[in-house]
Amino acid sequence: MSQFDLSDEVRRRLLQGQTRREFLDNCANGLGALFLGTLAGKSIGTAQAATLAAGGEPRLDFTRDAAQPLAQLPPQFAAKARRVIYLHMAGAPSQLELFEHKPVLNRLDGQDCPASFLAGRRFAFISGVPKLLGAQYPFHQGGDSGAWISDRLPYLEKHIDDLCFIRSMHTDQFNHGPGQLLAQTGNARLGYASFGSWVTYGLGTENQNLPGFIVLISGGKSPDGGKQLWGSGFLPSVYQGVQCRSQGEPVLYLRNPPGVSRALRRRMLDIIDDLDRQTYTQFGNPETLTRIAQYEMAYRMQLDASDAMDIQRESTTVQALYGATPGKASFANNCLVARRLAERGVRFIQLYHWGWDSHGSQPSEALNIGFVERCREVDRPIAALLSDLKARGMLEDTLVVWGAEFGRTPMRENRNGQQMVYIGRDHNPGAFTLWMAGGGAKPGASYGETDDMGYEVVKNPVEFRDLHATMLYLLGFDHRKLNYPYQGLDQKLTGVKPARVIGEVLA
Amino acid sequence: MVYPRPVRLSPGRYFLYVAVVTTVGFAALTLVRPSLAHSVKALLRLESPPRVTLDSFYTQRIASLFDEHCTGCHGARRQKAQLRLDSLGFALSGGKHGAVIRAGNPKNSELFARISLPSANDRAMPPSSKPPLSADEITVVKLWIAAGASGERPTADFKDAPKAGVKVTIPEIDEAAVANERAGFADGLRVLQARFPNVIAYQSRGSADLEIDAALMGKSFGDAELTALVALADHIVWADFSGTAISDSSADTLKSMKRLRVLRLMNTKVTDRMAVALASLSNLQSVTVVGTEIAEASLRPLKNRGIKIYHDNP
Repeated sequence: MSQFDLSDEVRRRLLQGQTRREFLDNCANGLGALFLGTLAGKSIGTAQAATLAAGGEPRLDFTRDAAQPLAQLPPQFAAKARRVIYLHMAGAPSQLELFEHKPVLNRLDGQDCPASFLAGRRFAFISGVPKLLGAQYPFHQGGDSGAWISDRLPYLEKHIDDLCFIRSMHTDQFNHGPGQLLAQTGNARLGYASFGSWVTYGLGTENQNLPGFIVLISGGKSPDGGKQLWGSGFLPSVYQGVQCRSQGEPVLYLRNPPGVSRALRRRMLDIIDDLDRQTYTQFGNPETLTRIAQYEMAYRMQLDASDAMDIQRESTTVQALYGATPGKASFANNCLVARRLAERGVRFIQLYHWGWDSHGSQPSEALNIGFVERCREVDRPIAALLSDLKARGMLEDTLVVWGAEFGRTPMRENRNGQQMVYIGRDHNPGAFTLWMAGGGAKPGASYGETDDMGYEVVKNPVEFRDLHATMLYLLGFDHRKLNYPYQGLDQKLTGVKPARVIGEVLA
Repeated sequence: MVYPRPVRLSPGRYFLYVAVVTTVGFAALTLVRPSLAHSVKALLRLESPPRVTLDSFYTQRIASLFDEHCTGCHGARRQKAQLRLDSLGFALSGGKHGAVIRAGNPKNSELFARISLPSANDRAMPPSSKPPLSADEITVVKLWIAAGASGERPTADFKDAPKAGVKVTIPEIDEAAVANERAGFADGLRVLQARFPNVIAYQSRGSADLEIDAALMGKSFGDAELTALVALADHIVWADFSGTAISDSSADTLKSMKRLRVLRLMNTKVTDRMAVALASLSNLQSVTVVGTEIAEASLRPLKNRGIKIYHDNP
């Protein structure tokens, strides 16, 4: 190969290393920089230098020093909630066995479902004419608020006056994956940024030694929506959620291998860092900066992460309060870890529990068997988490959210039109219940109503985008202002359709 | 070439012609623009404007609802379909196609018909790109029209009306004022932020108030470090010193933070002496002293002031 060919090859590869988007971005920035003469260096954040959004309204500036993409930024206005603990019950628990008391449905238990419920509706499994199914567990009113609750959540009931129920959630997704994506990213399709990513993008994080957005799964099955549920979508990938393992070491290979000292690790990182910077100067890919930041974060996490995740540092009394067992993957352990992370300034903590898909097709998914276990697994830990946060004054500024991707039908599931051995309910996107606690949510409140069967919303419907707008409001943002320019649009968590901050649920 | 002879008019006659043309033109204009007709009639006292009282259902519920959902297009700035809804007089005078409100008869009122259409309908109001009225809001309008579309009937007459939704306001940011206020201590703040990274932050983009979170520094943050923050004392509204090494020696420093609303001292060595000092902070709303030696009794004065106290014995 001649000398000429080689340099040609190098140039070709250089050009290939740059994507169209980066090239255009650099052009815009380059020209802008020439024009303004002020733009020095490259930074992560809003890709365009424009400070005015399309409507001519001032745009909030999320630009940061590229070396510190997670640096704190103040919210738009004083926030009620400083952090979020989101408890997602993957699979969708039955609201009719937990919080929605429907005497009429109980009376009609076992009767044929009215045709009007079935006309034009699509179900995951129900076929033919199913029977109506009354609540499987007795309900009573709890606390001073008098909110109805079943006998499945006796520990949570002690906190019922701290909870703010939204009974009129509804969605247009009736399968778990897209439903979870909609709940967590504001869009049922892949490629959008998750709530936690938006929040870490908007606010950064206090503790630079831990990720700002941490995800914990209580063993068992991972949520159907996959890792996209905590993905950063079009936001720089440094804002994606970091999934920590629930068993054993929280993050694999975080510890130095035998024979490698911290000093040696530092030297190694410095060299990698140097190489990465050369690569960045050459190709200009902002993801290289993310990589540098991640290496640095991992180095700092070596000291802090293990400590934060180690529930053995809690007294046995506290462990017992949560029902936590060190060394086991469980929702209880994760709730305790969540509290420890919240204390350490982690901005967004997401817990996924699993197994709530109570179709009744097998014992583990039956309302009379598996469901009982699921309730037991979450009841005590959630109550302990709320108690702990409350005792420390942290519930004032920690927004706890409990919910799922949709609800369940008032009809008993009848796969292939046959009565099944175990009792279950099908997916119901038409109505479900979600609650919030702390962080400026109104304690003891209840918003929205469903019909006598708990099948559809009849009053004050709430979409996920309304919930997201409300949560962002508590975090100090007008949801229309927390945006990121991408593909010619100011992308928002709440999308382009109108979303409403639900004033009725604000304390 | 023949030029037409110029018409010669006496000044009196000229004035008369102009007056007639203007009047006719104006009259024609008022016919096609009902809101203008309404203004003119009101100006000429030909029509008395509907009386509107402050405690009326209209003022309390309807005007704000129109303001939120309608007056962007049907108001002072724009008058689509020549309809204005920014006052009761305008609303009752209707638009291009006549009256939109028939007092006592919501079913025949175009305004009610439009707002109750499903949002997919082309004629639905507000258009599908704008947030729709809630079911409660539609009911409120219906009840008001049915009761005579009055500007005077008090809210007490509308017992069945759904309760008003809670209005959510987004605070405006006065950038100049904020920058001005921040400039006063910006240099000192920069030095301290460099010394204590991630500890001092503005509470929001719209204020110069500061929040201190020293908990992450643990025992490396003590009385000496806290003393360094005195220069910022006037601006601190929120502070977390949980798990730090601060002690009663910081009592005077904390006393100087007169605007403190939230103070967290969990797992610190502070004692009753600190509790006494805190009594002078008049803006306090919430204090956490879990894991300290402070006796419950010494917090009673604070508790009596309605301050939330988080103590080992709740």
